Amino acid sequence: MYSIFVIALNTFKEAIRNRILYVILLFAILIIISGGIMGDLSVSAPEDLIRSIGLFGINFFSIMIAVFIGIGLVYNEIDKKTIYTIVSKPIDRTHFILGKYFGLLLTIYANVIIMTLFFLMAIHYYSVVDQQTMNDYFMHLASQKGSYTQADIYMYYVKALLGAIPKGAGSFFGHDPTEATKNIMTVISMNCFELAIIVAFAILFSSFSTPILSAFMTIMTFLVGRGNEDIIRYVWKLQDKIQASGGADMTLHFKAALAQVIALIAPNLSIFYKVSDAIYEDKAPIYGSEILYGVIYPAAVLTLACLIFSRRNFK
Amino acid sequence: MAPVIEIRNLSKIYVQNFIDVEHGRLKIRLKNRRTAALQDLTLDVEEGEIFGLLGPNGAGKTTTIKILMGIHFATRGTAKIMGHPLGHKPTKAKIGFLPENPYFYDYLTGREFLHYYGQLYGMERSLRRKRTEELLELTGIAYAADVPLKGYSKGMLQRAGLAQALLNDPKIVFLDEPQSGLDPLGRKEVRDLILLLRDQGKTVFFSSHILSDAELICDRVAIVHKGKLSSIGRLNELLSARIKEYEVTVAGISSETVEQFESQATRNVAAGEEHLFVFEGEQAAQALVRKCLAENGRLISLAPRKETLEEFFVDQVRPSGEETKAKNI
Ligand SMILES: Nc1ncnc2c1ncn2[C@@H]1O[C@H](COP(=O)(O)OP(=O)(O)O)[C@@H](O)[C@H]1O
Ligand SMILES: [Mg+2]
Repeated sequence: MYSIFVIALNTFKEAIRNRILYVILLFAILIIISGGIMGDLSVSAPEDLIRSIGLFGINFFSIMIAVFIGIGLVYNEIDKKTIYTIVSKPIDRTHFILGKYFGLLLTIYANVIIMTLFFLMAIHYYSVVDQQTMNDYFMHLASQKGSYTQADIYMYYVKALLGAIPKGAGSFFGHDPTEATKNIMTVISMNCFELAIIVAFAILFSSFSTPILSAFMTIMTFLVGRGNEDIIRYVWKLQDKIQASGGADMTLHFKAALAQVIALIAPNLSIFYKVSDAIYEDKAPIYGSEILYGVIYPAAVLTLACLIFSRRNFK
Repeated sequence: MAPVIEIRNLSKIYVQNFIDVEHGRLKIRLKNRRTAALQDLTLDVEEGEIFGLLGPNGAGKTTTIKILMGIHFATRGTAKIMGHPLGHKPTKAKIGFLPENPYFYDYLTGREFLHYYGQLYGMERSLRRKRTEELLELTGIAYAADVPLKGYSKGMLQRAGLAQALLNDPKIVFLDEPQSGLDPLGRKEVRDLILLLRDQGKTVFFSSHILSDAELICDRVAIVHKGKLSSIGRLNELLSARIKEYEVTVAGISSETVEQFESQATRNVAAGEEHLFVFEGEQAAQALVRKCLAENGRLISLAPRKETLEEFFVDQVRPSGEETKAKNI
């Protein structure tokens, strides 16, 4: 157990000393906080746009980190032969895989936390610099003082920005009077299970193939996983067709069976990405069965990765 | 006493699939390629000795060490370290390993690297700190302890590799080509280090293709060639039985005698009245000495010249000599 922890920590160190991480994080933050600027342009419900862009950004860039950092983690150790001295140490190969997994997950969750903090601050900031709120404020100010200057407007923005920082941090720790940011936290937490699954796949693929191939397979898994429910609907449609045609067409049977197998093996990821819950629900629900799924599925993938890794020769 | 390393019929066949990923590239061949890298290697290493596994490039030295370290799995055969089969974790805690041309984590400094490995050995923080500093000092990279390994030269990496191999104060140290990549001074330092380890009672199992280095320190050697053991034994046993040639230098002998022995000698050199003859056989050398004394000449020197490990080695691995040479086990 201790060796898993040690390897995880070193993997974390490796990741945070990788420049790519910061490039991705910078982009992520820019996108996440850009929601309000675009919100100005949209006609209706700017806060919905801020939310969906933010949630999308956090999700998308976390997946990017999983793919671009995860795929090389195991491969590089084999390619550069650092694995030789690791394997000769009194640890199991399984510990190595698990250490890599948790190290990468730790990296990604740390990034999710940073992105979420920026996101929450952005939400608070935009809610204060909202057109309606500002109009009301300055009408009030004008009626009190008679007039206001450009400097007052700048001051307003600065205060909004400074106020957003503690408010955002407060929301993160659950000190928020409104359900709105609590919902966001719930949705992001549920999304962490999706990341746990994707990272498991990145490690699995990385344990036996090259980075480019792993990246491709990880992204494919993500896409198929997100579209899993569509595949199931497609199977239903095929079954209807088969029934209608009397079941004579064998290619339809084949297609249905293939789609069924894919839907069964691939993870179902859309259950962990409920942006609409954060926007339209009064209180975003926490799904117990999905949490269970989000724990068991990556465990199964990691078991497979460990089995492959324990048996392989290193070049 | 039981040997600390027992290798029995160890064999390794590398199979490269007809479709394979090599150096990050997809490679397609007509059929699977099989390389018999190691064939029926059997040998024992005793506690406390310096054992050299010698052989030309591609002989199977690295393969042997990789199997012992659990990096590759043997195709056939078994091996035990300190009486336990390979992969036994408590045994692994008591060994050290330096891979061939080591390469380590770019992003760690020398000190961080040793701490990380110390943690993998499960060493306590205080012990880890003590050993790290000692070994940075011993291997001569203390000055670069806080430089990321990215900035290390080949020789410095080799030293960092040695340091990590000794971190746990191992009972047995496996060193794969410990002297490659080092300058003559560095090679001498490694030699001295290996002798120091032996003095501390450790067993050293190392591979090398640099024979002159091996000759100076090994208690016993095994010579492998094309995956097979070609001879094994104490260095003095392997070489002393084989006095290569006799050099006799004489002066003041008759020209008939010179002529007579010229035909028997493999080489001869004349300088003024001194004559140097090199004979393969002992008889001819003795005959010349007797003749010289009988003729009242002067015997200047008589030197039996032993075969060097290098000559022995060349003899062993020469293609024609392969089948005729009996295994010297
Ligand atoms: N991973 C591998 N895949 C295929 N062949 C290999 C591999 N490693 C080594 N070989 C081959 O096995 C033989 C022995 O190699 P090696 O043990 O590295 O020799 P040495 O260390 O004595 O130079 C060589 O012919 C080499 O080409
Ligand atoms: Mg080698």
